[in-house]
Amino acid sequence: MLDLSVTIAGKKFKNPIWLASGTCGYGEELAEFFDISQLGAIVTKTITLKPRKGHPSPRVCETTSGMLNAIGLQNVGVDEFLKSKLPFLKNKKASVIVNAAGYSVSDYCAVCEKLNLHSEFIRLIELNMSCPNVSDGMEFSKDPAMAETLIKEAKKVTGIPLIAKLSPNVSNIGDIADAVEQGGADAVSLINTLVGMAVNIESFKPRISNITGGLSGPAIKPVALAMVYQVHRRIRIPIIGIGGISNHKDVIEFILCGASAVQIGTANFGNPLTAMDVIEDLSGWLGEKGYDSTSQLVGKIKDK
Amino acid sequence: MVEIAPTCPIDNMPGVYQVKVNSNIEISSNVFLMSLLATEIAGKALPGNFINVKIDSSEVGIWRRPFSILDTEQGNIRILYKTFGKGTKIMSGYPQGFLADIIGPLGNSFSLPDKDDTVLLAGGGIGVPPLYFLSKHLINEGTDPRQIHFFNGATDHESLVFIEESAELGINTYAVTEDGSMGIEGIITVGVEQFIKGTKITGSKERVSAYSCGPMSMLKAISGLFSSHSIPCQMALEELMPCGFGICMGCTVKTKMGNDFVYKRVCKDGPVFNSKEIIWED
Repeated sequence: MLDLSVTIAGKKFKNPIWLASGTCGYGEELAEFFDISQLGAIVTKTITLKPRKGHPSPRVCETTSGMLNAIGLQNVGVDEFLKSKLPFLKNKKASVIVNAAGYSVSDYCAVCEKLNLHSEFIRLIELNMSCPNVSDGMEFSKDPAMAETLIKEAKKVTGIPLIAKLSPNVSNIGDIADAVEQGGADAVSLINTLVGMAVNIESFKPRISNITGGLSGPAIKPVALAMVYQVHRRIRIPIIGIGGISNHKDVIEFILCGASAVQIGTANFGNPLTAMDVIEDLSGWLGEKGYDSTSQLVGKIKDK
Repeated sequence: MVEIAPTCPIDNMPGVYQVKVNSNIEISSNVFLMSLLATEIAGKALPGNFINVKIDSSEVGIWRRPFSILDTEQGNIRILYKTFGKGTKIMSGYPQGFLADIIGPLGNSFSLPDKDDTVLLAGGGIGVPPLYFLSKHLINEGTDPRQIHFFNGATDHESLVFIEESAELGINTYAVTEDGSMGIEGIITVGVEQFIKGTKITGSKERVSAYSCGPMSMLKAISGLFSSHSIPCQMALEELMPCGFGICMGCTVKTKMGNDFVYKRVCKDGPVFNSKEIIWED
């Protein structure tokens, strides 16, 4: 009997198909297309302590099999989120994971403290660690010691389980994964976007105002898979795979490499119903192959 | 002067549809008119709305391409497009009967003027569709076509888009060509300015509403012109759109918020904005 549910950090999710932060807002727009309570989880747009305006246009640029974005973490801020966005998600009975970011350890902790007051509804917190620490400009996701400290401190202020979202823009993602596991992270999600760039050869200008941006889409899937595979060999906490997923076959690839759940991001732009199609097709594939659940396949790549 | 905000009715929700191409014709050099059998969208669409079309080809990127709705008629919708890049070139080859994957209706819509208002429309090229749709809609709702004045701009008479079809609606149409080969000579603001000076029309003494669509540089100039005559103006903007329905925050425009500013989504909070809201960049 097929059961798509997965349990991560002690919480049960109806299926392993989640939506990635920054690609589904706070659920309102996608709710116009389908019932968002059917998703395994929706990871909200990154919330910061204070509202952020985001970067000027142009913020995005199409690239071969993907796109660049430098939105600039435009968001309403944690207070407004809790007041006006979370109620909508509650009303729709969505399974909510809140993505949070900060510019210092105390920043992240301040956000987590406020989110902690809604622990009956916020199932997990995903920490977007690809933010620079204001004190030295170093991104939390790039330094194992900083990453470990961040998780340790955040764990002190919230009982909501924490996912550490890892950046691929590092020499050894396994080291960062190890560090956050040491810090007490309940799970890791990877990968965030890859740093990329594009230039307009008529105007000589970069195509996005921030000059560099994050690359996402099908082009990054092979990089994401390699990193999930690499991280799976280093840590024991669950992995949520992200990067260029657009169909059920991609999902199986990530699961075989070690992911217990996945997040779909850029694919939502081309087809808002992607996740719904993937859930259906995944069920079909598992049924055909005679599997009862995806957990039977986690990390089962034949690499020996 | 009455300030009006663009609207979005609650039953205007978008959907993803596979729709049949009824026809796809080149009406002038590199300008195509496509009709699609899209009953659900035709039933809901309002002037200002757009659709987002998937181009299923390895030769183009992953984004859909947005097109403003030109009109709706008996379950069909029409769009006008120029073959700018690879995506639109591929679209121009869609044959009759082809199943197009589209999302719509998207965006907000123009807030309609009062029945007795004089209506001024300014746009050219692919800025024409939302204004043409608005004209047809107003006439269907009871506006006298003679109250509507459409200033249609282009570089020369051959580049004018849908000028005859607009005239056939019974509205006043004015061609404005940069080379003077037809109608008023100059850029579109010259045509509108001439009319305003000639009729002495002003928003501070009578009911008049303006609507515009076109490139940002033109909208900036037109916005200043209408404002100086106290004429409220709504503009339909365009921007690069990864999603077209508000989830990615990629297509933003800078707008006023009290003494501060906020970036709003052209695809969801727009494409129609009150011209006074927009912070014009150089």
